[in-house]
Amino acid sequence: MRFEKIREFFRWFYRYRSIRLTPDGARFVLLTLAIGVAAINTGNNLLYLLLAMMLSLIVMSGLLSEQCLRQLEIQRRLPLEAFANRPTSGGFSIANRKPRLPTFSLRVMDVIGSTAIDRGIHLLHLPPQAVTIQSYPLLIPHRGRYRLDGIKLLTKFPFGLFLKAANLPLKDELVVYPEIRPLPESLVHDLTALGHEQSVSRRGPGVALYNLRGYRAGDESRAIHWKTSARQARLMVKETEAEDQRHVTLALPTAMPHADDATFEKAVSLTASLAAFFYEQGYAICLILGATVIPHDSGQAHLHRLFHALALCRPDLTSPSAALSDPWLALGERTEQGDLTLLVLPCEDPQLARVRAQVSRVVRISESS
Amino acid sequence: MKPNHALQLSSTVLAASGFTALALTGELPVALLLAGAAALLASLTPIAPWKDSDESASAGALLRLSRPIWNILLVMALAGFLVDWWWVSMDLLPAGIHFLILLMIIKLVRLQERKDFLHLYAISLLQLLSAAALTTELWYAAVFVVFLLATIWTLLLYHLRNEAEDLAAALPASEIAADPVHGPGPLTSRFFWTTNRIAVGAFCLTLAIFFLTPRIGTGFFNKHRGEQIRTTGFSEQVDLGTMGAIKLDQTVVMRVELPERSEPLSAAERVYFRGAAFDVYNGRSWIKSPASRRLVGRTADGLFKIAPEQTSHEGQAGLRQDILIEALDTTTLFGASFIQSIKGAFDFLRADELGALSLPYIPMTRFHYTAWSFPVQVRDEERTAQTVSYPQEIADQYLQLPDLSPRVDVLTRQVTAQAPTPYERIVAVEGHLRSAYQYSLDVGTAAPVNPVEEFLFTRKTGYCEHYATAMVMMVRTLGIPARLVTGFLPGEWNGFGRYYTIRQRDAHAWVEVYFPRSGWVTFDPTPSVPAAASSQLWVGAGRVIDSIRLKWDRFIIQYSLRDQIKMAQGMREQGEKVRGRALGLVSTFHRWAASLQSWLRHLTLSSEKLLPVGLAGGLLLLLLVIAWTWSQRRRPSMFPTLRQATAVRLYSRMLQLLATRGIVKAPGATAIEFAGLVTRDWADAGRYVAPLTDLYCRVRFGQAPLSPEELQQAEALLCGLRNAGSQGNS
Repeated sequence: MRFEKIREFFRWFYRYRSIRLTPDGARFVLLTLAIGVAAINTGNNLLYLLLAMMLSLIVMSGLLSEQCLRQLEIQRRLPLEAFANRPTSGGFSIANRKPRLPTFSLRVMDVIGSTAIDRGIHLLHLPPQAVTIQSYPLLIPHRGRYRLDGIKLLTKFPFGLFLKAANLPLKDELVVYPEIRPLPESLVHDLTALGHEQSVSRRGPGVALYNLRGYRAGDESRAIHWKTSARQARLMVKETEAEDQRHVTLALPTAMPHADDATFEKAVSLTASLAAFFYEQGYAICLILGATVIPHDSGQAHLHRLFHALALCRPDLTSPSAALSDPWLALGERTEQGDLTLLVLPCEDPQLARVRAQVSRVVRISESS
Repeated sequence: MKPNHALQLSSTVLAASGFTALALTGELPVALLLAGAAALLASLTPIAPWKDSDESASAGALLRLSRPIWNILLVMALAGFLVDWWWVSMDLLPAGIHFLILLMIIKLVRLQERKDFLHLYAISLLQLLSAAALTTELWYAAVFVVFLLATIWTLLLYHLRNEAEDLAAALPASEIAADPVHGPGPLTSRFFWTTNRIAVGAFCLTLAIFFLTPRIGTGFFNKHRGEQIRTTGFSEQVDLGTMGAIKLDQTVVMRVELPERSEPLSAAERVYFRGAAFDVYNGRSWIKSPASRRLVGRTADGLFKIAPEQTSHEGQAGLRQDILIEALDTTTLFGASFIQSIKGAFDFLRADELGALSLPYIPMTRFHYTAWSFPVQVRDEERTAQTVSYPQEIADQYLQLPDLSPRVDVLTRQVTAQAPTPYERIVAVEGHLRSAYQYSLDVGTAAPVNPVEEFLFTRKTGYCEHYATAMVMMVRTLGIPARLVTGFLPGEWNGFGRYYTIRQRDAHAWVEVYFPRSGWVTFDPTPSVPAAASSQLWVGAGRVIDSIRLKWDRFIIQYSLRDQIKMAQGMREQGEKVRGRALGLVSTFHRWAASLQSWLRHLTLSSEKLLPVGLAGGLLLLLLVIAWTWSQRRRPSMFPTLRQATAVRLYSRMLQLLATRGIVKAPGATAIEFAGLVTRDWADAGRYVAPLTDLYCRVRFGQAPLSPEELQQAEALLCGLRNAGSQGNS
């Protein structure tokens, strides 16, 4: 019982600090032990003096390495967006807040769970009151939440005898978007053809004239159509027709009849790639993801919303009929209204036979490979 | 200096300190000594100032030997070590030392890879270890300090170099050059002083650990290899005239501290450090008669009681002496006349009938002991007694005379003719010898047939042995028991360390005369000889060094478990004193509180309203004090750091410079407005004034901390402004 308490105490005590002997340090300690044995055997005080010197070097190592790790202010700099399997860059801002003492030989690592990941950040010398920003390449293989639990600082300063580590509980989280892959040529061709068939004139930013109407407070003055205003003796404003403003609905069922993560991941990646494609084409995109519906919208913020939803979605093995909820049943109506509706099928599902018949096109994951 | 060069230099210094330690022990053959020194010098060539190359190639590059050849050399050195051990030195330590020097030379010549550096450091440490087994001299302290300093520097630089190399292997060179945190440039003046501070810290820590480490050493495997000091006059038989050989020897034989005395002994105290005593003189030599010797064991309190308590002279304070004695080639123990008890790290002692103390073995190293002595004075009744009768056994033993010519007897009668009492006769003989004979160490090389008569009647010059022997013979012719004693004079007082340094030249012989009631009383017929004059500076320096040597011996070499226990007891006593003082303070406060309470009670009784008013007033005062303290804490300091204060000072100097050019800041103008004004009126100054003003505003109004670089920039701006001003004037 007492032993357990002692062990718990040490575990608590070392939660922020740990120390490990380096190979050189192990040799040094062995040499120290040998001198200690010689001193005890001979009773020679000069050997005790040498022993004291060796021990003082060990103690100084501990003190100086602690000093080296103290008063460091570390901030993690994560990218604003990250896609699975696409290199991006992360970084650390490291500030030495010590008024006089520099920091030497510092390695900075990320901690995920209980694993320290070496980012290759190694500072030889950080002067007092100095700040440095160190970036590193970051490649995350999977979509979803990428949790960082802390930062680990390591130093072998001053003599390379011990490797001292400080654990900083600096939690961060990054939502990693699904992998975006280039679409196959045949699929791009089909989608382009389908897009041309769907053309709805609507108000929006563009060059062609869409309408003239009376001036309202808040309208831009450069939109005033002066000739018509002069003719009608009141201020008239021109409205332009939105260029290529078309609608697409992407539908990805999350219900999987059997567990097949790889297939589902491919489907999610394909959906995200389609979203990116249609964003480039200027489409307003709607996403039906299982029971979740993200309505039509355009712009980068909307695209990130879609990616975010796709990044966090999970296959649903428990409710195969979820695909037949209202949004799915309304897909036919959307197609009839001129929407381009695409159903991304991770696997063949008899429940979706009716839906398949109502959408503009069914995209199978086999097409993406 | 480049980090690589600094590492090379510090590694060489580290190796040199280990090598010096071995060289100073005197155990190294000249050939190895020269080879080691040459290798050390050669290892410095890559960093010599005349070398242009950035590469710090090792000295071995000059020899262009491949690694296999170096390995063959190593194997040859090992074979040489084995041959040395088994056939030449026939001892592990000398052979090991020779091997270490060879290894050091090989490593110094090819100091390239990391492991070469590590091996060199290990070899240096082993050299220092070996020297520790061979010496206890003071120079070891100096070498140790240099070694410690070099170790800190070397390990630090070695670590930083390895880190830089690892980083260089991982990162492209362009990235390392672009970012200073990846560069190897920490050798600034700040780094220099920080490293030295680390070394000082390590040194202090070393001392603390050294003194606190329990001395549980058994000393079983300790081999003492120090040379013994040859001395004369303390063996079983002493030929007359042999002491003259050591009277010019400056070798220190012992150091004596008198812990209970702050001043040196006065001449009137006549303290002599007694060693051996002799009772039989055969005309040419003094011999100890075969007397019984007894073993003296340690008492329960760790003391060796030499004389029974009742023989000590009541009312006289004993003289305590802490004696650190060198390894002499004699077993004799020395102490002021007459030792009553002694304490030291030995198991038992031998004491003979003549009052001499000796160890059962010849000590191989210097050692320390404490003696308590009580001087013996002639009692008044014996001083004035007309006749004294001696016990038969004393008379038999101490009245022996060799074949002397009647002239000695005649001379003695003449000298003592006017003395009515035995004591006065002794004093008369002593006085005659002191006044009628001349002290000289030049007594010729030919051994006279009868040295005493030669001294008394022919040459009339001699030194202590002649004087003392002559006095013993003369006193014995008067029928008074006497004997010759050899030992040391107190030597020279070291005022710096408050102890006596006793050298070989202080060896002395004197006389003890027996008085039945008083005991053996010391007489010295040798006239005092003025010491040879020497430079005061050298004498002072010598005393300081000798004092340090004594401290080194006492607190480092001789430091033992007993000292640690004493230190712990001292700390406990100090702790108890502090506790007692604290308890005294508490009881004082308690008394004050009780008296205040009684006063308040009295006040309450006298005035019912005064107490609440007083308490309320006190409370209010307390609140005011707290509020004031809090407001002071919350109020930010105007210039909290030195750097900020420096920035403001630089701005003030800028204003003064501008004022000399006729641009004066109006009291109502803000700093930025003034900077604009300066730029308008003196365009050249604008590029200095604007950024300096910006820095000033950050400090003065933003309370922002400034980095050292920014401070340097501010100084550079001010300097630029000054130059611009001087160019404008010219």
